[in-house]
Amino acid sequence: MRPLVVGVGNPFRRDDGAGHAIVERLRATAVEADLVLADGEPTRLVDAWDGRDLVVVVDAVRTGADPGTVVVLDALATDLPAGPTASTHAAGPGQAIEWGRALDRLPDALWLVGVEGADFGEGPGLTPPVEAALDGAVAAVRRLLDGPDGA
Amino acid sequence: MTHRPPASRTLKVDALARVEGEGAMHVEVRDGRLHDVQLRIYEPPRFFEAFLRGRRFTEPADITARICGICPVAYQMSACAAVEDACGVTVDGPLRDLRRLLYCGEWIESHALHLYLLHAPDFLGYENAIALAADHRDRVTAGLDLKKVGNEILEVVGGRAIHPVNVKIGGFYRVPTPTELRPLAERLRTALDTAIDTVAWVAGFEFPEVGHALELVALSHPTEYAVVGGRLRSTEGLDIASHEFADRVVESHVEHSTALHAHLLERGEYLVGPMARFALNADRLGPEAAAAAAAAGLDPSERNPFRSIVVRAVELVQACSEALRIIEGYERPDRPAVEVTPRAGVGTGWTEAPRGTLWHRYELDDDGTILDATIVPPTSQNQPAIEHDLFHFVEGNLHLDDDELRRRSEQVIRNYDPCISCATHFLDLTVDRS
Repeated sequence: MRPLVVGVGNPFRRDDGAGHAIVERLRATAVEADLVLADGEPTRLVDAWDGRDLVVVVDAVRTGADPGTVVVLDALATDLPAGPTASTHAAGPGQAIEWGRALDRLPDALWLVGVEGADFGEGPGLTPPVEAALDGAVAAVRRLLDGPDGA
Repeated sequence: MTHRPPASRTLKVDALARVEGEGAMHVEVRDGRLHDVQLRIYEPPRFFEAFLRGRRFTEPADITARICGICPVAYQMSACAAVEDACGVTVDGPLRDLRRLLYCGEWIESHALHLYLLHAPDFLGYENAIALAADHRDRVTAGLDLKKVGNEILEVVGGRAIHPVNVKIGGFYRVPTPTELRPLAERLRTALDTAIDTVAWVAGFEFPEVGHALELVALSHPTEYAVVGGRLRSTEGLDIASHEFADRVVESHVEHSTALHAHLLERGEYLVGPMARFALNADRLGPEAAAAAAAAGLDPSERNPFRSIVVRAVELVQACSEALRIIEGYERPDRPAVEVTPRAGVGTGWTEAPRGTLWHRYELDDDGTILDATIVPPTSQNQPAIEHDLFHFVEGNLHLDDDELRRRSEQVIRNYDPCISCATHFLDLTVDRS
């Protein structure tokens, strides 16, 4: 199966729209991968990546780094925060990986390209540092798609 | 138990787990007696009724769909019913069948989600569905497949799985071809088998021996297990048309909730949802669902809220078989929608959302501008009944320590599958024993 890039997030929560924005930039160019947008609902993410060899999840992250910092993580080798589990609202890739593990439906390789967000308040539009980081994030996704050396 | 709990204590659950949306529970025990139980709904108010004022009569189906990501179709269908009522239009025949098909998709998606991911872990002693899935992989995979079939119906008939975009006043923007529906039929045959198996699975769970005497209220239709349209009936003899709803149901604000509480005038708390529908309409289930209910030992006198999971499973069978029948008999309607011309007046309409009766009322100007809108979702109707049930449950279980009482109380709330986001105009648990 072709590689998959999943843009996760909510473009109506400011920088949480970074994942969708990266996928839209990839869409505008020739890329050897299926591109999908997702809201982060874990079981849908598992459905999306089930059976794939290579999956790249792009999402806004909050690690405390400077806004716009791009991080590339081997999501299967990293403990991602599973996020709040009290509600069926607000879940994300961390929980989706837990689901994938429980159901034995994880891709062979799963990478997370994250962009450090500054503002997750209500409304559309990315903050300038996140907007400025999109090209770097797109390049990071391309390197992952191009082969193991790029990682 | 190695010690007695204190005579006065407060139990709090600040964010209830495995419910739709965000709410809390607060229990106060004073001198060994239960003083107060509150289901606190603290999601901010949503203001949808106010958004609708000044909008066109064609817009409620799209605007109100945004109230809920789990039951958008319910909002669309009740909105259409109410606006069409105001405009003197009836949608029937194959367009009404397509609406029922779309609604079946939502019931399948919503019931499968609640049953497998939110409710079943309570009965099998798991903290969450992921832990359940690790030990019962095939079962949970089947449940997720069932949910997916529901989503697929929404995609094909509604245009997309969340907040469908193909519904309009009078019908649809575009109606599917029989060829587009055919792959769904194949998926639904498997889903129907899974649903029947699900009934047998959940009927085997252990249930505490409890019951309630609440009035059960649901739409009732002469020939169908009511989903779209019908009269509102109850186990205590209520029998009203949609335009009488506001005369019989009073909504009031309570300090601890951004969801309005609903009561039947001069009667008090009541309960809508699967147990009410089954109690009132079991004789109109399709043969597959009726057989599954009978095999599970379920009958219309069932009043144990913990067994609501069995009723939801029976309704999964009903929704799958109904969807299958509609697809097998489907002929594409000549036109995707009937024309609706606005006129000044008031319209009301209701349908059976997965969680119970959802009532809308619109007042229109002669040019179709919405002057006033009222939406009464099922969870806000159920909120006083849930508190009532919770009160009696906690009162009978004060001997339990805080952790166990908190855990079981959350289960009581999940029996009702509250949809807090819908109800806010709401869930955390606190128990105060001070």
